Amino acid sequence: MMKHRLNLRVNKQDFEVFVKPKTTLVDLLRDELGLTGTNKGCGTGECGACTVLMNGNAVNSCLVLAVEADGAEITTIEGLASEGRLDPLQQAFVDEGAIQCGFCTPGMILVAKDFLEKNPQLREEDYKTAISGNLCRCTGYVKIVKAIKKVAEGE
Amino acid sequence: MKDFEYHSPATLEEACQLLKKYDGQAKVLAGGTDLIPGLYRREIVPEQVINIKGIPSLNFIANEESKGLVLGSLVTFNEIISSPIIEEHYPILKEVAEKIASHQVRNLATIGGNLCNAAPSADSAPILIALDSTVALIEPGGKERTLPLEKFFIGPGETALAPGEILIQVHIPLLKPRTGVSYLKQTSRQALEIAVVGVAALVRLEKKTEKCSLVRLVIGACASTPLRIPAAEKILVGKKIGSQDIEAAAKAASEAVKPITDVRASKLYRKEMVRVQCKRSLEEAISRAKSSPETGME
Ligand SMILES: Cc1cc2nc3c(=O)[nH]c(=O)nc-3n(C[C@H](O)[C@H](O)[C@H](O)COP(=O)(O)OP(=O)(O)OC[C@H]3O[C@@H](n4cnc5c(N)ncnc54)[C@H](O)[C@@H]3O)c2cc1C
Ligand code: FES
Ligand code: FES
Repeated sequence: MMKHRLNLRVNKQDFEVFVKPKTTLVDLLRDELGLTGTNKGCGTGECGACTVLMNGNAVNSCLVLAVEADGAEITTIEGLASEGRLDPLQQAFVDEGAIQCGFCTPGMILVAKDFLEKNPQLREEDYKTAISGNLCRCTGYVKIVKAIKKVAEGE
Repeated sequence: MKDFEYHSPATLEEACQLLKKYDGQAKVLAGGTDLIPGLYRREIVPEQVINIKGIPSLNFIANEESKGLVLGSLVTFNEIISSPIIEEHYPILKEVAEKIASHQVRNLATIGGNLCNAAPSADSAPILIALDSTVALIEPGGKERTLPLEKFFIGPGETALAPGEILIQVHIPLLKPRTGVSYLKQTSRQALEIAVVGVAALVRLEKKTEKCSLVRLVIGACASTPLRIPAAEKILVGKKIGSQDIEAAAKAASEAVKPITDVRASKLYRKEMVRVQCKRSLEEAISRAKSSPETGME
């Protein structure tokens, strides 16, 4: 099968890669670019572990073909901290103890990042809605919600 | 996943040419939230995949005085949620979109994909049928046609789309005065679930008399396609609707549906829930009709 050349920007760095059409974005990130902070749980959009920002929108990278990301700007969990400082969401997850094994954490943080940006006014139940597409197998949801709320409320 | 060839046309003409070239054998890719899991599980093994997401003319939301609302097929559910036009004129569409999937999936999932995938449980279908929507389609030769959405669904995963045809737009007529709409989705948990039963109701009441002049009741996930229930509608039209009429209509709906038993619910349970949810949905639509503005196009 013919490989396609694609150019994409991941965490502010430009890449040129050759991929088969069937390669999903999550596999490109993990297996070709070595960015293993993006996790793959289900591979079918149900668990949220593979969430990344694509042109600013949180998407399941297992539901996107790598070739679809030609010309796109991708942010993974590795690209969230800037100048050695954690993103406020990352810091809140650490401070609130919202991380157990950490498998779901990158997805939780990236979906929350997009959700908070798109929904400036939040009701109590919205914090749960934000992460309704993310499963935590350690079931630490209470602390995760608390961490997101802390950032939303600017504490 | 099996290998396939990939194309990403930049215009509708180019997409049509590709679809013609592959003579109905190519698979269209929009948001990919149904298609890619299908490829992953090898339920679908196309030789050619044509990504239509790079076609700007399929991605717009417009409110036209004569036609009502026009949605390009590529509009995503999160774009519906954040559209000021929809929030002002068709808030029900925002309400429905918020009941679909997760935030990440809604950033990808398109309205066109939801309809073309033709799952009996597709959440956008019942409400769009209740609103009397039509869809615009284009065949590989470039000829366009429109079809009432009610006639678009043929069976699970089966639509009126001819091989190579693309859904390009959804047209939603203006909401007339004193009209209320509702969509209730019953699921076994609150989020990221497919409907066990979905009920959309549209009710219009006459001025002063408050007699019902129009009802559309459409049920999802309880037959091979979204199902309109004329028997229930007949009970309500022409009446000043009382609670007994609502009970009777809900019962008629429960008798008319043909649900299956699957992992989500049994046939019997679905029938009973159709009765319960129809009652609630009609009540909500009626109360919204009563409080809806008097002014607007007749
Ligand atoms: C985790 C998860 C949760 C979900 N939850 C819900 C839910 O709550 N409610 C719900 O209704 N759905 C749900 N879905 C299903 C899916 O997200 C929706 O049906 C979505 O709208 C499909 O749109 P898409 O753009 O992703 O379609 P795609 O996957 O790109 O395409 C779907 C099908 O339609 C065809 N197609 C797409 N666009 C066109 C077009 N313009 N013309 C012709 N053919 C076309 C494709 O060839 C394919 O066969 C869920 C999916 C996932 C993965
Ligand atoms: S791996 Fe993508 S959602 Fe589970
Ligand atoms: S912390 Fe272990 S999966 Fe969430």
